[in-house]
Amino acid sequence: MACPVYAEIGWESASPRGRVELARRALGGGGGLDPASVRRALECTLCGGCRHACPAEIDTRRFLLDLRREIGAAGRSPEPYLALAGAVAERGNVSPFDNACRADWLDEVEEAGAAVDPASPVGYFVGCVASFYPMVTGIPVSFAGLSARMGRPVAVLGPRERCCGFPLIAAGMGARAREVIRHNIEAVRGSGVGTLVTGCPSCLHTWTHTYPGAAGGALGFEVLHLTRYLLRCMDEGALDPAEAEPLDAVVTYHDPCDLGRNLGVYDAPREVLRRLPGVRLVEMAHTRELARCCGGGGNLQALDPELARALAGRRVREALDTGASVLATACQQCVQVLADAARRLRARLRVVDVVQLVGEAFED
Amino acid sequence: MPEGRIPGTAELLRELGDRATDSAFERGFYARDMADVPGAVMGLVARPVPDLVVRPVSTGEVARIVRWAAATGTPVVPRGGGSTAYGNAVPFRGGVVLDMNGFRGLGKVDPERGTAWVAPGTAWLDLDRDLRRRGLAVCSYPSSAPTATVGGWLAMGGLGIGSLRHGPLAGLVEAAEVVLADGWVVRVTGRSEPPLGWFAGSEGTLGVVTGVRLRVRRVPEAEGHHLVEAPDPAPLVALARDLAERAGDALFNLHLSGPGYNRLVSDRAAATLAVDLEGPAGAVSAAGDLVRRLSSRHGAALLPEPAARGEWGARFRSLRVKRVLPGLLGAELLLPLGGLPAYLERCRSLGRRHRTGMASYAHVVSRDRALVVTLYPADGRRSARYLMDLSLLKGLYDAGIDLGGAPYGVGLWNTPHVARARGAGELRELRRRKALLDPGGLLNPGKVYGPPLLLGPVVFPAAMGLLSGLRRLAVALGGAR
Repeated sequence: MACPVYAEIGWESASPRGRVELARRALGGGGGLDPASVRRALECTLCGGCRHACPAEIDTRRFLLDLRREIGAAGRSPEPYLALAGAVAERGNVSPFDNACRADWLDEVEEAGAAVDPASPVGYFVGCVASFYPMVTGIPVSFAGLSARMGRPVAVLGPRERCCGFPLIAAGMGARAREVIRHNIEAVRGSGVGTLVTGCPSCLHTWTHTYPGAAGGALGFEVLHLTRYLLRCMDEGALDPAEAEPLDAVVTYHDPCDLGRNLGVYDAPREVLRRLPGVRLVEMAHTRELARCCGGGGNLQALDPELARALAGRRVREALDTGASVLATACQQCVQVLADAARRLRARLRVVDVVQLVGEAFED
Repeated sequence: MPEGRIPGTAELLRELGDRATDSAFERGFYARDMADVPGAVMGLVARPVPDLVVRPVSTGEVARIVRWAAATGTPVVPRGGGSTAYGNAVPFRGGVVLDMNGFRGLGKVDPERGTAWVAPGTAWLDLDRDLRRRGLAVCSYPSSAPTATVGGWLAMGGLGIGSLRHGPLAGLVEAAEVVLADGWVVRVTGRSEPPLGWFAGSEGTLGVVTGVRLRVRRVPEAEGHHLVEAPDPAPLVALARDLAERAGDALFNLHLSGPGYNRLVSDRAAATLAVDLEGPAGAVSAAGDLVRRLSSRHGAALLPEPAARGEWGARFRSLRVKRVLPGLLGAELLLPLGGLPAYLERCRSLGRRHRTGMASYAHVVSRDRALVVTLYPADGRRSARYLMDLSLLKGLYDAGIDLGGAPYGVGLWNTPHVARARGAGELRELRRRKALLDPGGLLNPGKVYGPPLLLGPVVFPAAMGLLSGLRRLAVALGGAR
């Protein structure tokens, strides 16, 4: 079953084929925007599982986004989507917090001065979730600590960073995303960086696939996921695993959908983990292109928290089946939903970002 | 749906909770399968929206529902992946759809004996992946393996990838648990009464399969994939026959794609034959050498290995032609291998005559038979034109039956061809079994045994003739597609 929502709900309407039928009705002018249809159409994490599995090789993810746009254009967006749009318009981020607090996580960084340099050639786009949600602010803190250790400080936009726009695109409100997209491009270009790194795969996907079009072509800098950047640093000797403390952990890795299936990055996070002393990497039954979504994507958590939790629970159970004591991933949103699921299941499973594990290994 | 509800529906909804529904919204999704049949066309022939949909997860639940259906005279339509296009899993006159997709999973696996119990709603690809984690694999699977279920493929006859090596699915099933039309649960084998063979290919009209003990194999030591090309299918068919005779146990699969099909999915304008080998490394290597020698002998060109691997990798994506067409109609036939070149030529002529493209591909499923699929463009958004396009299907099936073939899968839409394809004797026997096991005619009615009036031997040919003529006129006036 390629669709995690279908696996959970079970009705044909919740299957990828059912959503194709919904899209056909809505996009073909045959109605199909009644509340039940809209609800079903939006019960989707945009994980791309159906696109990967489609025997006709249809880009289902693209037309699901088109369908969301159609729903928005018809004024049928659900309240949670409107709330998301309102938050971004008002505060520049998806959280309930003021954007001025975006860099508050730096207060937890011991050597902030050594970790951050506005003149650095490497910029760090933190993303809303890791900036504002306490459960995952440890990710940028860990990365900052590593940056200081490597003597490679990064430029942080702080309050000048806005939401990447993907929550609005996923809500069918791509037009409203243009403002934050343009702002972010100008802010990053203005900082003069040659490399922009981010630990959020959704931000990365949006920077990679949407931003160039908005920028009128090339961005003028490369955009990398944190794990790829860390691997580069390891290869260049800036981060030497020989200097790391053994972690003595059996770790399983969850492929975030936007990083794995939707961007094709499967190996870098695994290679980073393999290089950490004392880490034994074991794989879940569904990995890489077949990895099951954690439920955190596509604004599903806002629309139907219970459904999102159910999906996360399934993935945690799959992790538990490996015998691992640590579930590592490379996405702040995945960490958040999976950690919450592990807690609800009372699972003996620590959920953490790859960057945090690296940080622990190199902690003095 | 309280008004006109079937008695006992409320109890069933209560018992099954969120695994039963009579919501109009949900039921509508079960009124179709892979075919893009416009509602207006479907409505002429059937009442496809079920009255109730249930998602059983145990044999007991299936038996309970079937008993209720028998008591109330309610048709029962089992549905797996819904991955066929002939209305097999679409209701003919409402009733209850048994959505079997939740009834899935791998049961007891016996690696020594080489068997595994499998729940009927398990998708073939999921099953193979689960088995491979244990060093085992399925022996064969359909090209719709990501979606098609174990129960569904058994109901359809079970011919596809790997059948050349291992035979039809019925021969790989040692036993099956079946719920009969009166709710009795029986375990059937090759020697039971009724025997397992009755249920294979019966398309859910004789019983509901609730478990299968399937023969499985060890994951082969090696694989080899080759792709051979020729301007015309004829030498490739000859090569296929030669390989089927001589390549031995390492020959797992042969897949032919016609030039029309290849033009739609690649930059190739020639016919291709994919040769897929599995087994001990030595045997695979030897068979690979044979492929190279025989290809040359038959005047076919061996394509580079990446192309062969790509073709094997795309084995579940034969329908990717849909990306370049508004929609499709297709015929699926079991044909004598020797008749394949003539059939493909007749398809080409039919296409030329009606000014449309015909794209064909075929699995070689035994030394002398191929399962051939022929597709052509059709747009389900335009009901009138779609109806006219349907007329070409008759031409395809007529061509195949003339050459000794038969429709693979009957469902509803292929019932007009049953009498001609099966012959009086075989049809009589099939109807006898139906009368014996389902005297009330409640299990998947309207399928397999004969056509409804509008698809009958008087109306159907006349209607298809008229539609064919109208299509030619439409094309003459408006251009080809």
